[in-house]
Amino acid sequence: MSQHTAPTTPDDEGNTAPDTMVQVRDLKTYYEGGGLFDDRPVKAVDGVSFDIRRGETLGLVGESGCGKTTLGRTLIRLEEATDGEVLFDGTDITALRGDQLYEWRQNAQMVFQDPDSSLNDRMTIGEIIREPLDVHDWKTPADRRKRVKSLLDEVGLSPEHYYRYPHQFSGGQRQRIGIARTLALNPEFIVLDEPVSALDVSVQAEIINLLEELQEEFDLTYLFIAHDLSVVRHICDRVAVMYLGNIMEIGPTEELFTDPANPYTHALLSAIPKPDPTASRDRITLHGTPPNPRYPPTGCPFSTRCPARIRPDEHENLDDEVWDGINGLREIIRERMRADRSIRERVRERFGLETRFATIDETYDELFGDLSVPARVERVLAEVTDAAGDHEEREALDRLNAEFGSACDGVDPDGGDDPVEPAYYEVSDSGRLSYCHRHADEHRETAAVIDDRS
Amino acid sequence: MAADERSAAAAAATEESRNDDPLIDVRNLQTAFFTDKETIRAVDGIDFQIDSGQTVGIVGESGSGKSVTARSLMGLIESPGRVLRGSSVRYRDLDAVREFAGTFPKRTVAVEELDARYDPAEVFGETDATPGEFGYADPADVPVVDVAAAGYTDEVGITDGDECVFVLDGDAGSPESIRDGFVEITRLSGEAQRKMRGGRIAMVFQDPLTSLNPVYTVGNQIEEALELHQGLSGRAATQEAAELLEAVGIPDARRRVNEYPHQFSGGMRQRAVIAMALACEPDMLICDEPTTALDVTIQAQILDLIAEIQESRDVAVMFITHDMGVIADVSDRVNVMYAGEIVESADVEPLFADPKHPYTNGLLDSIPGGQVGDKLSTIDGSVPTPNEPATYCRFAPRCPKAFDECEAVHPVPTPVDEESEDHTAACLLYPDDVPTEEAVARHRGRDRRGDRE
Repeated sequence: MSQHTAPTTPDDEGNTAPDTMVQVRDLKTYYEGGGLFDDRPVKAVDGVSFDIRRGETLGLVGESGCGKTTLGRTLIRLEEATDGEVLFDGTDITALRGDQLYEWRQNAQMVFQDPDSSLNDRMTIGEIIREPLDVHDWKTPADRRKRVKSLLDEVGLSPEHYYRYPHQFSGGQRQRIGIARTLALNPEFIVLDEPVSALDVSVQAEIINLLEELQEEFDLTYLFIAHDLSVVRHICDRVAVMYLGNIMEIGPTEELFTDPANPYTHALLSAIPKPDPTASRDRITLHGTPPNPRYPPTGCPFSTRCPARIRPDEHENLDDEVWDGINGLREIIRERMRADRSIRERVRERFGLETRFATIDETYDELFGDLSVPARVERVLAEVTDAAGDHEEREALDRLNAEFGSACDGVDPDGGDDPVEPAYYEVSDSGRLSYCHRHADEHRETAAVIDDRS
Repeated sequence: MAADERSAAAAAATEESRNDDPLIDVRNLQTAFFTDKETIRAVDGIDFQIDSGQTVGIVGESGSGKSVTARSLMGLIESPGRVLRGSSVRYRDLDAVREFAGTFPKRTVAVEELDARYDPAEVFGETDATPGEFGYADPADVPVVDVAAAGYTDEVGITDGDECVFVLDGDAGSPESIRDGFVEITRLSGEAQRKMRGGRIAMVFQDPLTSLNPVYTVGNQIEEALELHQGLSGRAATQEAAELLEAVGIPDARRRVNEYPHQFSGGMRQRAVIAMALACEPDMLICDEPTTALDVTIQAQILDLIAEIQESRDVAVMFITHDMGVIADVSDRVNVMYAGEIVESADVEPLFADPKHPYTNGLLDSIPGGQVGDKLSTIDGSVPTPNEPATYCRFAPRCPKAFDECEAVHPVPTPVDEESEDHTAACLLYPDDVPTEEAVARHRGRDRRGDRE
């Protein structure tokens, strides 16, 4: 098993390199904090690298807030990248300015999620689809009208819809209009941001079929952003799984679905309800919600919820329920550290009055009340809750990390002071990559660990 | 009250009142919206039952009438919409019947008493009522209670329009003596309506942000429900609110009760809404797309939570969704809705293993999965808006199996074959163990609404 720090797409069998269209290298998009004191940026996309091949559909999946839409928008310059490169056929588009950018924009288009809000209600369908042609001053007005009519035909609407308004159309038809507008300038690359999430399942099927036909006809390359994994499995050649601004796993769709390598992919796939009541329901239910991207955890981004987190050797045999309690305690302390504390509360605290924060002992009882906790662990936890009770949340977390942390939490196994991050490991012959410490030779594989712990 | 005490009490209460009857019995429910332009028959004559402790799923595309069904049960239909005469939704929990009979003696009526005043010829002669809609051929056979619950006796003065508790067995004057009866949900109003809604039946909506008030803390809002339905206030209410939040899996609940909805994540908000629904210890929970706005991992948490609550508190759940995967996961029984009607109804396993109605088949086939790279099968056309009482099959224009009679005969729910009494489909092809002409004839004879309104 080889280790990559900067993942690259391996060559296919034979000597011809796959025809790469987009190369993304260590791309970061941060939203700067607006506060007076707290200017930590929101790290929406936090250093991703991948390739998109010409003519393929790359799926981008993840929970809301993981940065998938920001990534899609950054690729076509609807957001400014903070750092890194996006190379379209070798040109770094993050550096394009003025006329060059204007020219390039014809090449990359986007279909939006909500067909209700992405069409201007006061414009006719003809005007909406013609707008990109007008903006780019495409041929003559008569040619434009002809082009719009042929586009309407292309997406399964009829030319007489030209003079109608968006409210006269159903959700599926509106999405067709959005797609026609996208195609107006003959782009090569289209970002599809949840194009079917707002549609009923039978309509969704029609739009997916349409997208597939258009791809074939016009040689389009798609970045398909979605949270519905069954749709992704149907339409995508390769899939990238995102979590908290990072790509956790990327590889060929079928392989990734049947044999996921990353613990997050495991959890995500097991959470999809299957339309089969006899299917086994051994889903992995993740605790809590993804962390705030303004305060990502140190180490692996998924460490706070990971079902296969590496545990330090001396606590390897600790009861799973105690581990759940420890993780719960860590989450609560992390949250308290960030919770806004009003002036009133600070004053109350100063005078030793009860505040809404003064309940850590109860929380402890809730988490560990009916569990048998080994003496050593109990001693550490007592120190942690004491520190948290005194509002020394930082100290409490450090104490927790020192005792129960592992590489996943950024603790350097070699004793270094700098937090360590996972690396991308190649997990199959097809060049699938996964971002997880579990793939290092000294650790057990994900699937076995998840089995043991569930 | 601690959670386990509460569930023990709930279990004891259901033990006492449990009988073979379903908790909720929906009969010929019709809800329509009247506008200047058109009448929209959003729910058009549906029947289903929910047993206590059971989860009944309602699935369909947007516009099929799922949410209007839920709102009709909650008494949340607002003008220009109303539940039409002829509809009946019976709430059969004995405990509730006694409570309502005690609180609203003037609105309680014994069926024997009605019988004395009842003349079938008068009712069926002077109102729109037809014996067919109650499933009888001869007006004389129709029980007075059916006619009264459906509201027809108001017009001829047998009832005065206010009665909502019907006592079938026992003395209407003394609640303890009641052994059988029901509360008629479609006839509730005022105080009785409020007692049922929230107190007995609670609802969880799709978007948790719109069901929470942004200017009050989450604790406040749960306390409000506790005060209204359980008379708790002050510290006791705060304590109970924190316990409810804890029961729905919100960590650090004591701190969280003082936070505002915007400080909660999407999944947490939905948990808070569920806590609010549980505040009044309902017998039934209506969940209207409770996970549609959530991510799959959070959806999994909420589905687990609902299943857990159902188990520990023995509540009946009506679960509305458009997601076939979620339906398969949560339901015991499934009703498939299309254009205001239930087109197929079955226990969850047979429904997915052997779907009968062409629409159910179409829905299941259009879900991606299994056929990678292939074209997805679709259902041509779109869901029609039902404006007129159906005199034909509403799915026929989109149906791959439609034949001539589909345009002329309105199909009614029919067992799909002799062995499956429990699996019904509203399609002229069924029952499939008799020749098609014979099947069509059976549907033709049983239409309940064809000649009215």
